[in-house]
Amino acid sequence: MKLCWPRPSALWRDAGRRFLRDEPATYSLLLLLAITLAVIVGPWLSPYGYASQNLQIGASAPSIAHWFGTDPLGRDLLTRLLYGGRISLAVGLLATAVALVIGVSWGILAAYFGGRIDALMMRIVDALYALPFMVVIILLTVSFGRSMLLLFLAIGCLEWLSMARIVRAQVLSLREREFVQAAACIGLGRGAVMLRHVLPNTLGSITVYATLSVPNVMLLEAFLSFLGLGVQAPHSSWGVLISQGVEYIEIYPWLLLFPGVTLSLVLLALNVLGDSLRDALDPAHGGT
Amino acid sequence: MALLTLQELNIDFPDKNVVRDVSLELDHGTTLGIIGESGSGKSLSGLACLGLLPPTARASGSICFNGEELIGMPAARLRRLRGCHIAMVFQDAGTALTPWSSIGTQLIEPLCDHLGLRRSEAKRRAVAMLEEVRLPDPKSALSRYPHEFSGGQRQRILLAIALAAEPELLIADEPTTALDVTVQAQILELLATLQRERGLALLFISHDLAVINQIAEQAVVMDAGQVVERGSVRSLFHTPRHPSTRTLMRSIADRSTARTAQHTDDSAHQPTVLSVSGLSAGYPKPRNGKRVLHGIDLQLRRSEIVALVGESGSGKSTLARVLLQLIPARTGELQLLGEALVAPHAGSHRRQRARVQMIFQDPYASLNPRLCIAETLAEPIRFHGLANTEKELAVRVAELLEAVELDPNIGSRYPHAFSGGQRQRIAIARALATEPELLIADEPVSALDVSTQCAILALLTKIVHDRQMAMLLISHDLDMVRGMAQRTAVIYRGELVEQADTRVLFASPRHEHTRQLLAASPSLPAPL
Repeated sequence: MKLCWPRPSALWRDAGRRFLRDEPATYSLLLLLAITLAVIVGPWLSPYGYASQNLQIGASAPSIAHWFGTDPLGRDLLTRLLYGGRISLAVGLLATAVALVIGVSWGILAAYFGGRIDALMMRIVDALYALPFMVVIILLTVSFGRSMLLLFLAIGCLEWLSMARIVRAQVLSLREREFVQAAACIGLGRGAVMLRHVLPNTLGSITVYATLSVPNVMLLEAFLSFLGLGVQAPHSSWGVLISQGVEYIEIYPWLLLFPGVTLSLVLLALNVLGDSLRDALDPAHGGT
Repeated sequence: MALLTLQELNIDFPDKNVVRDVSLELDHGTTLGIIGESGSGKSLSGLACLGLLPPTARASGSICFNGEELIGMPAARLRRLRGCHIAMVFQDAGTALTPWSSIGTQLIEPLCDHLGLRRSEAKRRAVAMLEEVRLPDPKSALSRYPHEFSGGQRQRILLAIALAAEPELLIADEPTTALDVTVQAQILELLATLQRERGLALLFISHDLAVINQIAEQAVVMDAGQVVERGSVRSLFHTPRHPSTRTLMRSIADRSTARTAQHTDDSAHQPTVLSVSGLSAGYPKPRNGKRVLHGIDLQLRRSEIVALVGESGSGKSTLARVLLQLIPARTGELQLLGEALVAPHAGSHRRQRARVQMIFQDPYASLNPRLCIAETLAEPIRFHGLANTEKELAVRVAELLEAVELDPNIGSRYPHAFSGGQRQRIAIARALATEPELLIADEPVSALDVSTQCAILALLTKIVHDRQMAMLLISHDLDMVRGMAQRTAVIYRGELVEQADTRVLFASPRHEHTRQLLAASPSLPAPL
């Protein structure tokens, strides 16, 4: 009986070990998990609905009843923040995942085939780059109406372009390295060489770009919502809450403070996480 | 008074001391060699004389040039000195010239700047300099760009730039290491002539004793940041006193002594492993319509090491790629143990791939940094189904590591944790994993220190004989070839111009090019 081949790489196991040794990154991961859990479970536990108004109390400062205060319509800010977090995190993670899948495979395939196919694939990327993003979004919204799914798709479709370029450039330079030639000498096919020898060496740039892309996407969503193209009332997202908070900054500062701090914490944690992931995936970093 | 005096020079990085108490003197118009292995501090000592140390390094002690103290000298004054009085030539002529400005710009500007010449005058001077370094057609060279010149020509241009302002001291750090042996000989001769004609003081840094022997009478040996011994090159080589000099000199001498002598005679009766006849090959779209290889006939027998010697661009690596079936042969026949090697992409070539394996030049680039050693070695075994269980696989990996004299327990570590020599051993183990019949080694030791080189060469010889393999050793280093190979083939412009028993070939070369190569190869000091 032949051994199964290929086998999952020990790289991931070792990367996990190195990652866990990095305290700031572990805390960042715990923080992100806690926030994710809170936005999933929180709205169910809250006694208030995200859209239920209480015009009698209006905008009230943080108190025992309303931990993060209420907005001018008397809606509980904590509930809205948790509820908005669902949308923001989903947009950030899903759009990035879409970008990762399309971008990485597009870049690898272009570099793998090379020649005319490569040229064609990269010209498609160039063409999409050239489209003004706002115009595309507005056209999409006008023709298909406003929907969250559309938002995911639109943002995801924008983000993968840079990813494809990064991956392709990396693969092209890695392909010339001697260890890749050595793999070809062993007899590995081109696909196996790509998967086992080239792709793992691009992981560093991919992880960093992906973690940078999540906050990017969240900010993009906030921007689109601010323009009225993304999330619509009474739904909310962190971007929407922040833009509302900005309006009331002088009279009800807590409306900006809490969403702002939450978003900043998440972005900070993601950046720490990305850096640490890159280091963990690089065996030369920090020793074994 | 000496032109340059180093007294108890120390160079420290925040975490370690790299040069310790180096003292040396260099008089006007003399040449001093500095020899040492990588990490011995020889290059940093040279850079310190120009005030060009990396920003984190701190120099202390004294560097006295023409009566002026260089350590602690204001940057502006140091810059003047650097342009006009002290010049430097670096190892890699390919990267030391700015690619996007013409040779003229790079040569004329420093002249205007440092000597205050007018442009027309500087241009005349530049042409004269290029003539002096024997660059063909110096007038038109001024308007050309670095990529239009060969490596040797670029090194000549760098010399012209370095010498344009008529410095008293030239520091040359491995100026010929990246060059072919015939070009190296020309550059060394040029350096010697210029040094004589201009009364230059020359500080020549190299790891190669034979090269230093061509250019300097006196040398110092550096080891671990210290000058361990000084004296004439001949006495350093033949009667070294310090233990580390002795180790170094023994390694240098070992490289060329016949390691293969005891095996030479029996290989004649061994069966033929590789047989190449009438081979020609080339790349799909040759730039000048020429084939890279033509009419190659070559035989390798069991337990035999055959050297393939030639300059860069002669087709050595292309031949290796054809034998590895990475590119197809145009015409001719390739047979491995009597079976024809098929072109790539034609069905069952997987198993055949396993029968020819390659050892690459640069052990820092030839191991995948993201695979641990055990996986790197296990990959070919798994791929070719050479082990049946995980346990058997682990045993085989351990055996491979033992075969290259490494600790079998290092499998879980990654390539970055190993030195160049250890990495090359791992690369050799990988090549052995598929139990090949033919090994191709492309400059397997040229990226390593001399002392490591000997150990790797001895290992390769042992493996070839123990496992009854054939090895094609590709190199431009004749000294090393002489110690390793039973037979030597000389390749020139894509043709094998001569092949013979190594001893015969070195003693009585027949082809003109072989004679050129042998004459150009720098020799070790003559006996005292």
